Amino acid sequence: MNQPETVAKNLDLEVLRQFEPILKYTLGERFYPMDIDRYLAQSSLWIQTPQSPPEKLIAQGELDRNRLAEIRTGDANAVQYIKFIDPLDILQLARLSINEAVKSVLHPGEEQKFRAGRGRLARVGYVSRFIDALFSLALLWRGRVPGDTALAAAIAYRQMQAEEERYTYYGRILRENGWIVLQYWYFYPFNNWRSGFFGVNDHEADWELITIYCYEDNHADGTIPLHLQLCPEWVAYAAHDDKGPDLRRHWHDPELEKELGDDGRLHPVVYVGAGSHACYYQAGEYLAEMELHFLKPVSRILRGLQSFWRDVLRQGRRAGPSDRWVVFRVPFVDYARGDGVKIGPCQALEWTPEILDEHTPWAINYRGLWGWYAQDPISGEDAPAGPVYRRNGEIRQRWSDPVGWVELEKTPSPSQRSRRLAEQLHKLEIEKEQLIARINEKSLDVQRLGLEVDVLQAMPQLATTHADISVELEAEVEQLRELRLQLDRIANRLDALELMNQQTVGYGEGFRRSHLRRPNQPSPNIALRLARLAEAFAALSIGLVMVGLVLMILFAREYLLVGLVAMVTVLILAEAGFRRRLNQLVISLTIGLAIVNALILIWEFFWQIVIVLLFGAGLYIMWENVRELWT
Amino acid sequence: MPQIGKGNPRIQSPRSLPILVALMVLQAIGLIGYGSVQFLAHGDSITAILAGVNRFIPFAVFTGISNGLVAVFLGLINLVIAVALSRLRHWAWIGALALQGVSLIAALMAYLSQRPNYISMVLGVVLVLYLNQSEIQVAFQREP
Repeated sequence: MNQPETVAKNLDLEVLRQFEPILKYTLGERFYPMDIDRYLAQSSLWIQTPQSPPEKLIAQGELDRNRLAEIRTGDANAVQYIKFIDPLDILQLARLSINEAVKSVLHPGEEQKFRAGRGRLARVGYVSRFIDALFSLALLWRGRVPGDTALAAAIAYRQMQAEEERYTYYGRILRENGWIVLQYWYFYPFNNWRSGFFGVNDHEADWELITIYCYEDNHADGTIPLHLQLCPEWVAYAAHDDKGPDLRRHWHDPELEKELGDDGRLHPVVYVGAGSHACYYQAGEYLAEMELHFLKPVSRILRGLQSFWRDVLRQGRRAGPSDRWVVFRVPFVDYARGDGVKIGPCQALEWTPEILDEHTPWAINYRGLWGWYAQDPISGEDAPAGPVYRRNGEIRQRWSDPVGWVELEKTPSPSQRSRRLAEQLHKLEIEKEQLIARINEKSLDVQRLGLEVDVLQAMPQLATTHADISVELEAEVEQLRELRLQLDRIANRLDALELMNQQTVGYGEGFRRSHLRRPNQPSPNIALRLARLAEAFAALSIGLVMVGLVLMILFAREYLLVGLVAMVTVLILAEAGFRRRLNQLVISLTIGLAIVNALILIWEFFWQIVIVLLFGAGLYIMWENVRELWT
Repeated sequence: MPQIGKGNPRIQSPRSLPILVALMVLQAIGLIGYGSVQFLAHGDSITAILAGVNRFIPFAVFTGISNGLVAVFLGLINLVIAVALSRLRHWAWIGALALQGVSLIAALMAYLSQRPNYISMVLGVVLVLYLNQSEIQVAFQREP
């Protein structure tokens, strides 16, 4: 690296240091952001070609960032992947488990354990619980990371940290749309959300991202170096594969926590999901509902029925878009409590930053997966690709277009705001002038045609021409009205922008949150009657119904239907009782019964109903027409 | 949240509420009428039982009498709820829905046992769809 490059990198590091996030983890978290070098040193590189066994490209101990960056060509359908941990054999697993158990007995306070607390299943409905049971069963045939891999990865990570404790992020600075974007990429050796925290998936390697959108402060005095004259305006925390404006918060949004660093600057606080490493603004437990792809068509039909029920039949209370029926989703809780390890400025553990940019070979050249390729059809158990690429080799939007990723492209940075305002004012003034000229011209045309129509009206022999010109005149008048409406609208827009330009109207408080649609919010503690019992019931209910069903098939097949109805009724009644929703249950059951009865009536009297409807429609039309005659 | 109190305007009663109340009353009259007929149809048996002539009640008679009693009882509740509905009582709304639930279950069971009562079905469906309309729910959300 030559000297100017080194200087530029040091300046970038200085900029990144100013806003370094503080990451707060949940008690029981086993993996923290690390550097890729130590991970690669423990890993091997593989390639999986369809219909062939995997082939080792680089053995463990020989892989480093330079070898990873070597460009390889081959089968377009082949998948390159890094393998960090080999599954343990039974003896290794037993030895490790005994070691862990002995350690926890000898040093009980050393590793604080995670406690799940209120069960996720107690928070959701029966259908979601049933889908969850199916999802868990599906893991038996889907490709998945073996259960002992997380334990082996945790031990490997602990050994690496024992040799040298280091917490790394990869920082990137780029300019886009007038914004100066600071990206903080975090690499974790393993995601143990499923095996450690009852979540969706386990996979090797995990890349997470915090982005800060800054602008240059034009009013700073000359004492501050140019590269430090940055003001943060927005932040975006990545959570799972989400994108869009809900990830973004204004720097002054009360939801965004900040802590003062030694440097006198504020640093954003991030609450990291246990095992999943998704990033959140507030401490809490987040209910992440995963929609299964193959059930999406059914969900779409349900949504259509819902809008017919609510909008056409006007049934139920008025509800917002967030109150959609979401039955075919698997519920998972992301625990982001922030009661564990804290890393960042003014914390016991601090960051070791490294620069990442468009010329970083290991990031740009390597398009494969950063961990084991489990060949899971849902992809949840496959390792992710790096910061630049998605699993299918396409470039991630958060890398190529971080402004568009959170839909910030519509918002100019504060340093550009007055210029954009002046430009828009100028543009509207020109449009207004052009419109006034067209209106004047059109007014003259209308007057001339009006005169002609008056003249032709007095000449019966030119009745056809009169009719044609009258139609033309009406069209011209309509166009003139439309132009005047446009002028009014432009005048209103100009007034609003003028007010803004004169600083009499600023962005209101609401502006900072107006972009939010369905932001992640910690799940509230639901009021359950006999909470422990309710949780146990929620955890066991679906399984018990399935076992009961099997027993009835085996021993009392003649009572199968009655038994099933009885079991489901008991399940529903108990659940409603625990949730204090018996009233709601009565309402839902009655509506269900009404729908069933209505379907029976339609089935039995279809043609009679059609005839009555047609007859009614005929009477209505006659009534309307007769009313018109009378008035 | 605005509180409904002395200073607040009264909640507007939905225009079609009288129709709803009339249908409920109609249903109540139907139930009481049906119950009375059932009861009277077994008048002789009842007299005989009360007089101690018959020591055992035949099953058909027992079913008829109990059905009649239940129908009269439900009909009376229907009447009370119809009055409360006209006064926009919140509990009456839930009560009316629960009653319609019972009526619909009865109609469904009658249909499945090849003795359909389509009038009861139609009445139940219409009343449930009406009670569940958003405007009606809003009107019954708070006590007037």
